[in-house]
Amino acid sequence: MHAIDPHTLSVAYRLIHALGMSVLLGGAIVVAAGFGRGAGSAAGAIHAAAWYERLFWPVIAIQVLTGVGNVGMLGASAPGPDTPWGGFFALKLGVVGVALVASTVRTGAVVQLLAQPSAVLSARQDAVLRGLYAATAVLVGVVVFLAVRLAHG
Amino acid sequence: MANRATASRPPRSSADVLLARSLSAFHTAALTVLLVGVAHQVGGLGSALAGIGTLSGIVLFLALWATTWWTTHRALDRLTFEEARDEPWPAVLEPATIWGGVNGVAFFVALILVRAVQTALNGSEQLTVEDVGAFFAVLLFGALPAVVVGSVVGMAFGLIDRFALGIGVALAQPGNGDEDRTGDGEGPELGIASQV
Repeated sequence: MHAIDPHTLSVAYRLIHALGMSVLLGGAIVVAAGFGRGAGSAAGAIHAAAWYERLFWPVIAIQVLTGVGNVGMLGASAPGPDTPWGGFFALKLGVVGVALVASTVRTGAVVQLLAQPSAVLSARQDAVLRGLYAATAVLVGVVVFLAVRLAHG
Repeated sequence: MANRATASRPPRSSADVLLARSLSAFHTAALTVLLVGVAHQVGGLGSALAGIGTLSGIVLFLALWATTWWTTHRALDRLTFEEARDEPWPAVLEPATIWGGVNGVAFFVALILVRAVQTALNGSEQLTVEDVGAFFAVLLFGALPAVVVGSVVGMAFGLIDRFALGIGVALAQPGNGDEDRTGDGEGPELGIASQV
C-alpha cells in the first residue's frame, strides 16, 4: 500500500483540527451574541442557531477523527495514562465527552423551537439559548486550552 | 403509537432531519471518544492506533459514521421528533436497540472488509480458498456478538438521547408570564398552545 508521508499527514490533521475548532468556538460566540439583543431579532437568531447545529455535528465528528489521528501519529510512543501528558489527554477526552452530551441538550432545545415555529421568543427562551451557546463556547474554549497544552508536551 | 409504516409518514420536517444528522454524529463521536478513553486508561492506545494504521483508521471511522447515519435515520423513520419527545421510553428504546444491533453487524462487516483489503494489499502471497473460507467464518461467527454489542450500545445511546433531548426540550419551553421578543414587543404572553 502506498505510504502517506507522516509529516504531511500530521500537518493536515493539525490544520483541519485548528480550522474546525475555530468554526466551533467562533460560531458559538456569534450565535450566543445573536440572542439577548432585544426585539425584532428572534427569527434571525433561531435561524443562525439552526445553521450552527447543522455545522457543529459534522465538524465535531471530524474533530474527533483528526484528534485521534494526531495521537496516532505518536504511535506506540504515545505517553501512558500515568504521565502528565496522559493526565491532560484523559481530561481533554472527559471535557469533549461532556461537550458532546451538553451539545445534544442544546440541539434538543433548537429542534424543539424548529418543531414549533413561532414568531415570538420569550425572554426565558432567549436567555436559555444565549446561555447554552455561551456554555458551548466555554467548553470548546477549555478543549482548545487543553489541546494547546498537549501540543506543547 | 410509534410503530407506523415509513410509507404512511409525512415527509420529514427540518427538525426531524436535523435531529437524525445530529444524533448520528453524536453517537459516532461519543463512541470513538469512549473507546479511545478506555484504550488510553489501560495503556494500549498508542499500540492500538499504530496497529490499525492511518488510512484504515480513517476508513473505519467514516464507515462507523456512515452505518450510524443510516441506522439512526432508519430508527427515526419510526418516530417524529414530537413522538420521540412525547412517547413512553420503551417506544424510543425499541428502535434504538433494534437498529443498534443492525449497526453492530454493519460496522463489523466494514471492519472485516477493511482488514481483508489491508491484508490482501500488504500480503506477498496469492489469496487461497482457505483465506476466503476463513473470511466468511469470521463473518458468520462474529455476527452474533456484533448484534449483541450493537444492541446494547444502541439502547444506551437511546437512553442518553432521550434524557438529553428531554432536558433540551424542557429548557426551550417559553415559561409563564415572560415578556415576548417580537418585532413590536407587544405580543401575547407565550404558552405551548399559542405556539402550535
